[in-house]
Amino acid sequence: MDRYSVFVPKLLPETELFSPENRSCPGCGQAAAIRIIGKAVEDHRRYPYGISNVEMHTSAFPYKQWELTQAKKPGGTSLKLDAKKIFAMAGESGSFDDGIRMLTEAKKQGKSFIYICLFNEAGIERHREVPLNGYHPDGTKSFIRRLHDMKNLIDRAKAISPDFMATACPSHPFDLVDKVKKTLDCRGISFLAVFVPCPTGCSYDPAQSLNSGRLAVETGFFPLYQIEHGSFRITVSAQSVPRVSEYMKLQPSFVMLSPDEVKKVQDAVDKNTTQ
Amino acid sequence: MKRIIAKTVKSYDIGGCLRRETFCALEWRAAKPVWNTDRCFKCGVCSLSCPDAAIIQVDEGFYDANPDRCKGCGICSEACINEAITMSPEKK
Repeated sequence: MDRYSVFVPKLLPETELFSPENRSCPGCGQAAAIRIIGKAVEDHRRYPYGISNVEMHTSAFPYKQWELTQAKKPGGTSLKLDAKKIFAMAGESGSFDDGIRMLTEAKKQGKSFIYICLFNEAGIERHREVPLNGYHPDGTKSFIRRLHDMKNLIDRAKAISPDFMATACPSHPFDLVDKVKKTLDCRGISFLAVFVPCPTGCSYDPAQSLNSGRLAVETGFFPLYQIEHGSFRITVSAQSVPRVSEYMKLQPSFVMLSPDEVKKVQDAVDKNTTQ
Repeated sequence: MKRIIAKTVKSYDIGGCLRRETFCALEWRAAKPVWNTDRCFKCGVCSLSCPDAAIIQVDEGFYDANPDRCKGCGICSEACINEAITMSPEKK
């Protein structure tokens, strides 16, 4: 990251498609992720605009914070081009089930469809759609129990076998941009799971938002990889692999975990990374 | 289907119920970023890491935060490689 981050403005487009004045919390990882995705998409006609948790803080009724003119030219050639590629962006909660259904339906009909799922740390406890090594700010007993009965979102998406699927995090912006561009180039269905840190949901310092995302990637909580036509590749490999406890130290929501339970989580992470 | 889309868009254009207004975070934010120009080498990491796109380039290539947009989260000060940004409390 440090090596590539110098002279950033020359490498990425300056256009801001996503709301600079949105109503998100300070240090919102979701806003950071969507902003970088918007930079990668560039062409505003393909920009996602649907009902999701993204709209909560960008489209409170009388206001609009999108720099897009998505449906302004109905019937033109531009809209026909758009119809070939459908772009959806939603959170991991209830809309995820819809997204999975849409992925299967798009595969059945042979259409080109992109689904970007934004993982939030805070909503996980209610919806149980996280990998085995997931976590949530609730309590210890339920946390350990939930390690066994969670819906594994990424595995469910993998079962559909999309043409391109990947995981990304806004703490590694160039990786995220690369993957969004690959989804745009892909002809079939593609799935992108983006981990977004939530300082309000997990009650930590907003300044540590992207740092916590980086630690989640480097510890193996949320490994960044891609599967392109069946070939698996890890895109960001951590130079020094820190322990999960370092990541947990950052967040007060994990204070209630005892050392044994932290060890259990570490074992689950190790098992997941060695697979 | 096309007709329905056209109708809704038209109604937005005439009624103008969707609009953009200036948003001022200055009233409620707790801290603001301050750039030390001696340490800054204009790399632009702060502008990329800002979730609100508040950081813009000003004179001589240095960066500064738009006071209306900046919510004072402090991500830029953490992301800065050379520690050129410090967060100072906002005076009320």
